Amino acid sequence: MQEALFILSASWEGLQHVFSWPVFPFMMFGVVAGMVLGLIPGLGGLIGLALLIPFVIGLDPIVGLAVLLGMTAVTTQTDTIPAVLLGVPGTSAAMATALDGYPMAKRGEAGRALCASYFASIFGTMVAAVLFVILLPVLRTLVFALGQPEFFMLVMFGLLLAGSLSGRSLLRGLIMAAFGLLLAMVTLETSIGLPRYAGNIIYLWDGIPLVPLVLGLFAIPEVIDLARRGTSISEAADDSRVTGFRQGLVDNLRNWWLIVKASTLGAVAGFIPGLGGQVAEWMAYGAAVASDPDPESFGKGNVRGVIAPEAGTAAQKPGALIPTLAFGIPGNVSMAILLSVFLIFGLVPGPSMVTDDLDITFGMIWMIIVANIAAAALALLFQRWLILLCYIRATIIVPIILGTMLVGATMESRSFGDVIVFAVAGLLGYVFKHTDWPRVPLIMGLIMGGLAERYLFLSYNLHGWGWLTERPLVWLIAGFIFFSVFLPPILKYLRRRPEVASMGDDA
Amino acid sequence: MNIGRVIDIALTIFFFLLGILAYWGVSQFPFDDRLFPVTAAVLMIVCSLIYGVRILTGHGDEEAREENGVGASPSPFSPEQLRTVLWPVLAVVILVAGVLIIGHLIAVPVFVFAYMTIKREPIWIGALGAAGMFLFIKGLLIKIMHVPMPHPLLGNWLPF
Repeated sequence: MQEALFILSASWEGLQHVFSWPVFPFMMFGVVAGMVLGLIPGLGGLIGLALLIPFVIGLDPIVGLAVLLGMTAVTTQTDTIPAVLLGVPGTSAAMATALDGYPMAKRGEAGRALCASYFASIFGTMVAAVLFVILLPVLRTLVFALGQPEFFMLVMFGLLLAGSLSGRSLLRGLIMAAFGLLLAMVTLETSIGLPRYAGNIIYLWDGIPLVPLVLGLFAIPEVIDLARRGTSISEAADDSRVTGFRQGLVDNLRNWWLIVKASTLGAVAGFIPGLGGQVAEWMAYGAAVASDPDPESFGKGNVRGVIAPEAGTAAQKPGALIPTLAFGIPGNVSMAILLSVFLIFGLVPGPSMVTDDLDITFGMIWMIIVANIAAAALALLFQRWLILLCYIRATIIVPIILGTMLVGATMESRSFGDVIVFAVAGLLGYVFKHTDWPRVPLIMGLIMGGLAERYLFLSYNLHGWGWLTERPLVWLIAGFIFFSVFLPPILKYLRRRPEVASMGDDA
Repeated sequence: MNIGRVIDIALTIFFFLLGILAYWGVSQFPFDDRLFPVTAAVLMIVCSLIYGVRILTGHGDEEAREENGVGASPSPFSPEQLRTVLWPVLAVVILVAGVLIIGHLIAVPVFVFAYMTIKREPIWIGALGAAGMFLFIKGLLIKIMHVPMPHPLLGNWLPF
């Protein structure tokens, strides 16, 4: 009881930090900067951090953190806008949203898709915050209980969940996942100092960059089809006056359980070092597809395909903040940079951040929640004009999207190799799209391949093959994998067999 | 033979050969560095073999098409539709080549202007689009955000 009161009081103090002067206006500055960065394909939280850190160093620590957290919290919220309206994910963490959001925009439901995504982001961060409060007492034990083998199993869980998105053509899904895994193996193998699959091309020694590949695979095919059609993006009558506010909220309330599930997966993905927004969103999307009675409707404009990845990506941020603050283990690259800022500001991550300085920790989580709400409000304010993008003629919008994408594609490594990867991925993506070879497992293989290899390598070197049999948490995660990935298709098959048999009898 | 089936077969052969190349490419690496790529390569070889057999026996492509309902929409690779695909693909190739040779700052605005003009948009819309792209790259990205653009093949030949 006393602990609960302590947590509640720390939470209240944290909320007061957010609305104190001048924290709130500075946070709003970060929010606006983050919104702009999220809108431009290829930019994102990392570039924003690099740009803003020099300006916040001299500020009061809590004010400086408000700017940075405000900015990083909302980049993955506004990256949904180009993903839904143009089919171009603003960052690689908005790919899954584009799969269903863009078909909705084509049907004239852009407002609904955007509002559903804003509310899902807000609810996603809230669920993650509640999870944090509930799990706080056991958090420390939990983090130290997870070792490399458990991390490996969690990565495999994410990969298999995404692999299951290939629907009935499982063989194509597996081939594409293997292709993605092999692309992830293209690198300079530092342990022996030899390039693996990269030859003498120095550009490839750092691995194949994700942003140009994603933009090429997913956005170029949409732009080519748009140019072929020669019409505006939306094929429905002009509905730019409809904001979809109420419908988006209703969609979220109807799918509250999906939000809880997606947010939990997102928070867990944030919690695990190395996994990021992309993994969180695909895990959430995979969970939505796996649990839906009509999985075939995904990719064709199912609002649940917008809600789940948005909730997952939003929940990933508070999830990643916890190990960064409590144990000095950054959940992702953004958190690693923030960790260095914490140290500059004199905030030493460690157990004290979940005991004595819990109010500061809560202050940061509140900042992420409030920033998401503020960004949603601002986006709603301009939504009417943003949706007009869907009604611009293809002859105007196509060259502008192509140009912006090409600029965005080179933002990651600022090399012309990115341009080549973008173009090749675009042409392959077009062929894959129109011959029904699933592109999602390929991307998941690329994202997860490096991580899976690293965790497998460490697990084997630390524990031999004994980790497969000796660690109960590995078995627990394996059970999760079985129940969520393998059991649904088995049950589906078993349910279909009697139907097929009875049809045969009738014949 | 339908064009979708031909592409399916070509992709399956491509993935099969890629799997073999990937397997062979790490044969000299130590066990730790070979384990994961070999697993992925074997998965690719086995799956593409099984899938290839399924296509040749007439099962593979129908299965996926039936599922996605794509069979109903005309394939962009059919001879009648192919011409409509070539123009946008050519546009992408020209833009990429332009960026590689003369750089983003000039190639992107010129492309925007040329595309709109060829597609019979009024000249002023093309000029506005090109100016907007130039300001976006030069003003927002290079000047304000200090995001450097990669050097084109012709080098930095612009005086500004």
